[in-house]
Amino acid sequence: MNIYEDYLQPIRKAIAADGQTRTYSEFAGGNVRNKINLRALNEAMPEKRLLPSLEQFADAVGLKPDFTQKLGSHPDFAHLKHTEDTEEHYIVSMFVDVRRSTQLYGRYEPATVFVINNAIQRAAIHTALIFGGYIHRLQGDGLFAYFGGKNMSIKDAVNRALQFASVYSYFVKHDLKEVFEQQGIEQIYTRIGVDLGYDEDVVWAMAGIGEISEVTTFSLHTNLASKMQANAVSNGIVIGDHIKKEAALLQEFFTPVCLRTGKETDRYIFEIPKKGFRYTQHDFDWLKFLKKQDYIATDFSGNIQLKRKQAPAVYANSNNLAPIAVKSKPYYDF
Amino acid sequence: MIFKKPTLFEKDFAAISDLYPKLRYSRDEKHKSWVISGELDICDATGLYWDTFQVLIIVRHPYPVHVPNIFERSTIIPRTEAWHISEYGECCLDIPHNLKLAFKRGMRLAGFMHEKVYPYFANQLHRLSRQGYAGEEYDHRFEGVMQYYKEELNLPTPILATQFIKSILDKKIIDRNSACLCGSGRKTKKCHLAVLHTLTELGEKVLRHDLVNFEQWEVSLAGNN
Repeated sequence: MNIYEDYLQPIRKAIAADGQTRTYSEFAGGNVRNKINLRALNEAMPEKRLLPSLEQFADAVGLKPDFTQKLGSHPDFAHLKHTEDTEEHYIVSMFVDVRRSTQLYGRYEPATVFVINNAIQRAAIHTALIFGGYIHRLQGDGLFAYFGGKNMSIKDAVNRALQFASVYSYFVKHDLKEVFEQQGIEQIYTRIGVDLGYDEDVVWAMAGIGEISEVTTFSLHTNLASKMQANAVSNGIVIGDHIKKEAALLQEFFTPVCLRTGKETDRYIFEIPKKGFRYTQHDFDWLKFLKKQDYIATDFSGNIQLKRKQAPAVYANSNNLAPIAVKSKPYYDF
Repeated sequence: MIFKKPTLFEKDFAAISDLYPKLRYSRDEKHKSWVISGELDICDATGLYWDTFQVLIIVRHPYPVHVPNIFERSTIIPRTEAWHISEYGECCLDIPHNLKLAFKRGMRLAGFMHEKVYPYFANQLHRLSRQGYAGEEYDHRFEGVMQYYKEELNLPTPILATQFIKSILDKKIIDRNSACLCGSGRKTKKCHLAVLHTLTELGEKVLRHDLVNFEQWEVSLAGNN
């Protein structure tokens, strides 16, 4: 599934140019440390337009990204800025951490790392926007995002969050890995934590003072999402019990973390024994989940592929069916 | 909690679920069979997606003895004989002799899906794209069986096929070093020994059925002449 191919091209070009000329014809002019050419990068990866390979994906999924979104500002709660008001409203919180990316600085010029990080980030942002996510904060090449809002049901928000997390994990596990392995770089991987806080669990309000402020959530479940991300395996996703509860049809994809670790103490991510409150964390089998999506096909070798909306004659050649089809020699006797 | 040990079928189904994630199964107690149903996505050798078939596969008990029956429910394939599918959507993947032998020789669900089912549907898409079938096809009905005897068993005439079938049914002991039944003059071990083994493997029921058809064919030919 080459939906990120256009996002990988700038990374490949930056890596190819790194340390050879000290001037990056594609992304920098003159002194690389001081004159990083954002314009060239934006031409290769426009901020507010999906690159064609990802656009095909959005088309197959049947969703359109909202590029009017601003960082750190969930539009449904932006009015709380500079007020003393608060609101209680459910939200799905997600922390995406890209691990081992620091090693890039030991290998490449800062300008190259800039291009790599931007490409990874833009792939993440664009994918999140397709699934209706709100990017609350960028952290290096990782991010903190919300899913849901006043015009979306909890179930839809949960489903979209899981879809984003799955598609992005696939990107890092397969596509990015391939690029970096060719460079002899150790595997870079994601760890993702996702949790849902219901209306009564989440307070939306302004944090900070004056201009040093943001509208954010005060919720145990936002904090737990961050903690669960740290409990995920490489390219793994850990979700909170509320997510499992709202995804009734997806039960086969969840298993308590303690079954993986073999330690019963890992079953709960948070406990208040006096209140009898115990909150379970679960591993999420995102690849299995992804393979069941309507927009995904599994090919003859078990790899996932995009089910495009166009007729196959538009993009495929029937000669490529022949190596598989030729094994068939049908008969008829009914 | 009591955990029931998975059956061989259940284990085999679990093993293919990574390749065919949109298929599920249920148990039909009345007909003593497993019923696999769902979507079968077809991609080409480069991984590009082509189409999705709705399929139903009946796996009769005991597994893996009987050859499963497969039905296409999405009606993408035209319902005519020329497309090797019945009006009810039952797909004729291969000559029954080959399928029976494959299961006798250890074919399980994974092999059936990968070697028979997926190629059949890929082949139908190849034909639907106006390229015709990618490879060969069997003639219909008994002509197809005769084609099988001719092409796969190297028994080109009904007389020869009948002679071989009778030798098996009559339980004649054939010496490996004796002259081959086909009249080539070579020793059996250097000629049709493997064919004799294959015929034996096919079993008496199949051979008797074929013998009747070969004899009827001879009679009808004689009548026409």
